[in-house]
Amino acid sequence: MTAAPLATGTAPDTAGALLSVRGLTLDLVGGTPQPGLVQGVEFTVPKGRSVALIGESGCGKTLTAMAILGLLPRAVRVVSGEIVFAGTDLLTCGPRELRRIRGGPVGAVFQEPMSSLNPTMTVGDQIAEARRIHFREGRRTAREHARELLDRVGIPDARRRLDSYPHEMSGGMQQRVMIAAAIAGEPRLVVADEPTTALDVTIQAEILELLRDLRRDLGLAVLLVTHDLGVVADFCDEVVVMYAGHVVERAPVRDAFRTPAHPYTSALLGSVPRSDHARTPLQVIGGRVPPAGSFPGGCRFQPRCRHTAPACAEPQPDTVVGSGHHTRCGRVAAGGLQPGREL
Amino acid sequence: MTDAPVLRATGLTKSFPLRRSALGRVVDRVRAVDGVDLTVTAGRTLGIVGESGSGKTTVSRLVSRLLTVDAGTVEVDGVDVTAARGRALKALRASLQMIFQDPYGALDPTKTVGHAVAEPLLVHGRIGRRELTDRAADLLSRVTLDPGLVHRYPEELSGGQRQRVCIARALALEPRILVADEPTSALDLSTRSEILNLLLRLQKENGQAIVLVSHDFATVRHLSHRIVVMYLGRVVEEGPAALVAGEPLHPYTEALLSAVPVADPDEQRGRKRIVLHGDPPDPARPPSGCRFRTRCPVAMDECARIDPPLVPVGGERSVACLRHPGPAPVEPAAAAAIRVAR
Ligand SMILES: Nc1ncnc2c1ncn2[C@@H]1O[C@H](COP(=O)(O)OP(=O)(O)OP(=O)(O)O)[C@@H](O)[C@H]1O
Ligand SMILES: Nc1ncnc2c1ncn2[C@@H]1O[C@H](COP(=O)(O)OP(=O)(O)O)[C@@H](O)[C@H]1O
Ligand code: SF4
Ligand SMILES: [Mg+2]
Ligand SMILES: [Mg+2]
Repeated sequence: MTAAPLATGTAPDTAGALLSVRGLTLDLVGGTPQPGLVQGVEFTVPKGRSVALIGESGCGKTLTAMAILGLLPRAVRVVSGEIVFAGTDLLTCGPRELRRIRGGPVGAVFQEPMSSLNPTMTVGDQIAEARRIHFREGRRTAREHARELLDRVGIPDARRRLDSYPHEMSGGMQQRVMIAAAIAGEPRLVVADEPTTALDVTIQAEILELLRDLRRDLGLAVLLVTHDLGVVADFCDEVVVMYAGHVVERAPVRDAFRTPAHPYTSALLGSVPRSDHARTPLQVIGGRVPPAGSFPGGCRFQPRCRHTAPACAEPQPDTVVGSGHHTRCGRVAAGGLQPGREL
Repeated sequence: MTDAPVLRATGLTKSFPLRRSALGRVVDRVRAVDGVDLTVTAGRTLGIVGESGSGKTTVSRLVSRLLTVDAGTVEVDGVDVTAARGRALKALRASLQMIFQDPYGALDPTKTVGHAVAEPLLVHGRIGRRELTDRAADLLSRVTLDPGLVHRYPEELSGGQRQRVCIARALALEPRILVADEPTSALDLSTRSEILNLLLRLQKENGQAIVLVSHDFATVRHLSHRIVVMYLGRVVEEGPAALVAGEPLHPYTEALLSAVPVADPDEQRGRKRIVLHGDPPDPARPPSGCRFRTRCPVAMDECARIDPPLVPVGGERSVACLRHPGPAPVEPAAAAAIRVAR
């Protein structure tokens, strides 16, 4: 299988999608109930592609990822929407089907390897477990596959490392083990929530290189949650931008960086230091993401936007502004604002 | 502003015990910082970058005298403060203040924001209790926080607001030097810009010298006049920020920079990537010769034998790498030949 080329400009149509999230709405129940933590979220991950999920802290990236993985915290309920993976709605299919999919065709990698790896189990056993569950392999075969997987993710001396415990490894090695466990089920999609945020850039570069190789060799699609726009530019084909529980823009990666069609995306891009502008003030987005429960009606970015107009208080429909390029800014959609870095 | 250094450190060395024997004797030590020199002048920023564990935090704590050196000296305004205690240490606090990575841990949750900000003034006897609220409100507005926050508690503030409170507190005594250890690493992208802008503005207004420690090359490059690159407790490259970040000489600096992805898809995908293989070695057992040789893409045989010193290579920069030996010493015979030719 070959990975899809890093082309841009092709529409991520739902028909060819491996994963399609439609109208996903999550409420906080219990405590002080808060509706619309995540509201009407729509995007697709085409086969073999890499899609970035970006936005400031608290915008709902992790909740969206957890909904896909069926790992939502107890207090958070799915109110409406569909999450269709290879033709199956993960929100309505039975628990049996879910168990088949998670850890099998859908793998997961998280920010803190130590919180996801079992500290009392050898890494070999943890990787072999996926093989035993999803492929009903016997001990010996599963262990041999675990060794191959450790080798595949670049862990030196894999046979000896099978019997190591996670705490005996460095952060970068633990992250490799987690990736080995995620690909043990031969997934078609890996959901990775900030897989390199806790690592040094040199180790990050190695991990991204590994994920790139896996995409090429196994035709993997990746949904990558990240704060780092450099990582997006480096690794992703498409970008989904979340703000306060809404998807405000989605676009092929080059379009997202060159002609952002939502003021929030443009503001995020403007806050990255540029080497040719050292020691000059960076663009800032005044204010901050409102806490869940106090979102304004209409466009949730209104209170912080430079272009707010009365119409922004109305609901902003998803509008197509280019091939595969969607915005939820009504002012851009109406032609009153031009997409671009100056937005 | 003068060019005389406000902060100068020479030969900083610090090791920490790793293991002790049954009798409590230290049997294994990690040399966190090994012979580091730094100089900062007024109104200028010195950035320190390197991977985690390279010794950046230890250096910043040594120059701030939060840790005592094993060897080396620290001078502030030409005064040796290496062994300062009591009153001298208190005076040092008035000229040098630190800002830390974790704005959550740095503030006492039981004290109001106003108290946190003006406390150094109380401790140094610069104000009485009755002036506290007014002075705190002043300080908060200097870091563009609402002065009304004086009566609030830290838990009511966002990460970015807390970091500003920490900066306001650090400014209270009008120090000439600010040492900031990863001040934006716990913050969001947009909040990070606000803090970096604030540090730039304060420096322009007050001419502080800043030591900025970060593992993030983009942050360091944005704020610094000069950059120091650390690897396993040593300085491997030092020089003007634009040169170190633009035309790195040390193979480690080059690899570190090439690993920082640029936020531009076309540029990033056309870049040459130098992927370093393997983790940094155990700092308690650094490799022989050049400490970087186990990961260096251009290591030579002699790199295992010779420990390259940090040498000037012209253009106000220094490098510790056998591939950059600096200007070759002129042989006496050749020098004589040159004299004759003249
Ligand atoms: N278990 C929970 N209980 C209550 N609220 C929650 C819970 N988990 C998340 N939230 C809230 O939901 C919103 C979105 O959180 P989420 O973790 O998805 O953000 P994120 O975009 O991943 O942020 P970060 O970049 O910091 O990881 C936030 O307002 C958060 O406080
Ligand atoms: N208090 C300490 N006790 C023992 N080892 C320490 C201590 N502080 C730092 N070290 C060790 O010293 C080295 C340098 O650490 P540090 O200065 O924190 O690096 P950085 O800030 O660059 O990540 C590391 O190997 C670290 O584990
Ligand atoms: S001295 Fe040798 S091993 Fe060290 S950085 Fe230079 S070339 Fe690489
Ligand atoms: Mg998250
Ligand atoms: Mg540190």
